[in-house]
Amino acid sequence: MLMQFRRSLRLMVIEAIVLFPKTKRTHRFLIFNPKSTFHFVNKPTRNILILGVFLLIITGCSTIHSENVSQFRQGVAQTHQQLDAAFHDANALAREEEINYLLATTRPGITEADVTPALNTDDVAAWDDAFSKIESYASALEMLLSSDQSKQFSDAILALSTDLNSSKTRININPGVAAAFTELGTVLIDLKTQTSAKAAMQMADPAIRNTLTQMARAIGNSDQSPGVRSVVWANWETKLAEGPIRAYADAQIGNHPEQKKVAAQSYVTMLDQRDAQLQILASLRQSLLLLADVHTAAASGSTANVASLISAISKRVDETQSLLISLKTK
Amino acid sequence: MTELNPDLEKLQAILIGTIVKLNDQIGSAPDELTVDALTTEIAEVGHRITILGNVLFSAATKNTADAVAEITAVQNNVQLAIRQIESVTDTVNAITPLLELVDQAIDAAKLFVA
Repeated sequence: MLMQFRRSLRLMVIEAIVLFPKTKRTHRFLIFNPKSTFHFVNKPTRNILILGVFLLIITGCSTIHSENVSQFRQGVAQTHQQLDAAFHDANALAREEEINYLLATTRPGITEADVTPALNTDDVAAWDDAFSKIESYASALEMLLSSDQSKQFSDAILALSTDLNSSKTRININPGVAAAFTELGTVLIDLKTQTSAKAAMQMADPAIRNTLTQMARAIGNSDQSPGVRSVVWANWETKLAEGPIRAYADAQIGNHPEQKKVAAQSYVTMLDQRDAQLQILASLRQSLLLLADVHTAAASGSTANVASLISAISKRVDETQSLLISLKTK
Repeated sequence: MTELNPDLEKLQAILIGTIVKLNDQIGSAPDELTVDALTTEIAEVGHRITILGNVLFSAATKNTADAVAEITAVQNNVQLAIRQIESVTDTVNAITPLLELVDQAIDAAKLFVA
C-alpha cells in the first residue's frame, strides 16, 4: 500500500507538471486532480487515500531500513567482541610487565601502584556498559521498525470490522471502506514508526558518533601517540629490552654464538607478537570509526553505504580473530 | 572532540619519545653494562607510561558518559513510540469485548421490553 501511495504521489506530480508547466514547483501539489490520480478506487476509499498521500507529503519520504538497523546492531556486537579481546590482552601484557618491574626493584615494600593495570576494571566495565546501551538502543529501533507493529494493528481492525458486522447493533460497514480504513491505519502506523525511527536516529547520531570517536581516540591514533596502543607498545618495548635484547648483549660480551642466535630468534618472534597485538588495537580503532559512519548512513537511509561499511568491519573482525590465533600459537 | 588532558597527553608523548631514543641507543651501546642501564631505563619509563595511560583511559571513559546517557534517552523515546503504537492496537482490540457487553445489554433490554 505504501508503494501504491508513492506511485500515486509520483503520478500526481507528473500530472501537475504536464498540466501546469509554468507553475511554481511548490504550488503544483495544490492543484492536482485527485479524481484522475486515484481513478482506480471508489470515492470513500479515494478520500482516505488522498489523506494518506498528504500525510506522506507532510512526513517526507526518505526511509529508515530495518535491515540497516539490524546490520548496525550486528556491527556493534562484533566491535564489542573485538574490544573485549583487545582489552584482555592489553591488561595481561601490562600485568606481566608490572610484575617484572616490581621484581627488578630493590624496595622492600609493595603497593597497588606498583602493579597498575593498563586499563582499570571499572573503566573496562563502563565501556562494556556503553556498548550494551548502544546495542539496546539498536534493538529498540529494530522492534519499532518491525512489520509486526502494523500487522497487529491490521489484524485488530479486521477482527473489529467482522465483529461490528456480526454484532446485534448491525452496523453495516462497506467492505471497501473497511479495507481502505485498515490500509490507512497500517500506513499511519508505518509512518509513525518511520518518523519516530528517523527522529530517534538523527537525535542519537551526534551522541553515537561522539561516543565512538572518543573511544577511537582513547585507543590512540598510532602506536606512538597517547592512548592504549602506546601503552601496549611501551610494554612490548620493555619486554623486548628485558628479554632478548639483554640476552643478545650478554651473548655478545661472553662470545656465545648459540645464545646469540637464540636471543635473535626470540627477538624476531616477539616483534611479530608485538605487531599482532598492536594491529588488533589498530583494527579495533578502525571498527569504532566505521561503526559511527554506519549509524550516520543508516540514519540517512543509505543501504549501499551501510552494507559496504559493515563489510569493512567484518573484515577487521576476521583479521582480529586470525591475529589472536597467531598470538596464542606463537 | 574535547581534549582529555592536554598536559598529561604531552607528558606521555615525551615518555614515548624517550623510549624511542633509549631503544636507538641500544644499537650503538659499547658494552653490556650500557645495555643493562638502557634496558633498566626503558622499564622505568615503560612503567610510567602504563600509569599515565591508565589515568588517560579513565579520563576518556568519563568523557563518554554524557554521550552514552543521551543514547539511553533516545532509546527511551523509541520505547515510548512502540508503546504508543501498541496502545492504538490495544484500543482497537478492547472494542470487541465492549461490543459483547453491548450485545448482552441489548438482549437483556429486548427481554425486558417483551
